[in-house]
Amino acid sequence: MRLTVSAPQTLPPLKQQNNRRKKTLAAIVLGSIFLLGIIVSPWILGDSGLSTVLTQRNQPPSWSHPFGTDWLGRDMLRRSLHGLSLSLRVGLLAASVSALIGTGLGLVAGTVGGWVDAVVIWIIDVFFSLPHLVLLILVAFAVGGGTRGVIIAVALTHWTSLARVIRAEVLQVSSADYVQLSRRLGKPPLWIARHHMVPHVVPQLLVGLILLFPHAILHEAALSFIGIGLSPHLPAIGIILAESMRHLSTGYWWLGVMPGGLLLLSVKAFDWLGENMRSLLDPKTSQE
Amino acid sequence: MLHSDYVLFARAQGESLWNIVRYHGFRNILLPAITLQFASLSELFGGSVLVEQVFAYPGLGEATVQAALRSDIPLLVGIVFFSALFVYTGNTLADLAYPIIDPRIRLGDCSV
Repeated sequence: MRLTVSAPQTLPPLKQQNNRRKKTLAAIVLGSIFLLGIIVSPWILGDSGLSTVLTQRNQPPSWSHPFGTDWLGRDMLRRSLHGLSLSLRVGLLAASVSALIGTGLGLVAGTVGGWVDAVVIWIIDVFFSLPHLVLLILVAFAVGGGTRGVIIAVALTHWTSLARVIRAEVLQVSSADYVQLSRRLGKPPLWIARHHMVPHVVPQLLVGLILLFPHAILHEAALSFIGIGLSPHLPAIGIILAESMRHLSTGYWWLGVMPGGLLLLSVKAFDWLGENMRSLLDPKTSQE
Repeated sequence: MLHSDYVLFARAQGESLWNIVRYHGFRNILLPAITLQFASLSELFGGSVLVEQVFAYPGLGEATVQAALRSDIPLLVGIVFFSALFVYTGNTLADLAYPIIDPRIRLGDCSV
């Protein structure tokens, strides 16, 4: 009888736990839908609204054109979505390659140690001490510029922080008591890697990958903005912003503010996604 | 900082807020501030590239962009090298400043 009485008392905190988990899941789903929507929007919208309509040029934001129109009468919302989709895809590709490099080097540095570790740390230090954007320009220029140049430059310069995080995680886990104990119990190294390392490293990798996206996208936009990245006839977000610079002083604020705001929003969405994913996947916080 | 025991003790001794900040807070706060300050030196170059592009200001950032656009390799590599040297100098200055601010820190003294 007592047991049945005391059972409901323990229920409320359990329910709250579920709510927190559900909230985090909802945030992840919401963020993913928003970003996926932006990425696939060009295929849904098609090319309508991108043609020049000279009778409707330089119109401020209104209900028919939420982002206004540019100096050729093109709908800025459509252009921004097209540009952002392209930039997101380039950023995603570059960030994924970067995450692969970072994970590989981080794992090697953490597990092999010795001079390999020293070399990797030295490379990371060199990358940290060079100004990021200047290094990006140098790499993009060295491999020949264009879309390929941007992808290679972003991929080659963004892996350092992730490599550091993964190396630190591997070092920390491999010196933990339960891993030492597991080793003493005679578990094979692969078994330890599978059961003790992977649960700690995979969340870091996923979250690190997602948190790399905003950096990659912003740097892609920055490179395109200064004219070294994507070619000017592609509607990338950096190109749209660079074009709008020439029209800001004449009072057409919506050309720069609206696409810039959309870029900011999507970068923030990635950040939000990553933070929520971290709290859900990380063994330290997933039970909160 | 202000929630630590020694600040509580100083306050119990009747020290004014200004003296607490001056004698107990300032040096401790300075340490992370200096680390961040010199770590963000490299951001300076990246920022100048974008800002000088926006405001058409003829500085080092604009020179970097022009060097890249006009395939001026020696200038570009020179700027990268110089900026790395700049960041290196900044970090060394920060390292040298640590023992002055906090006497507990000693560089290269690992024999303890």
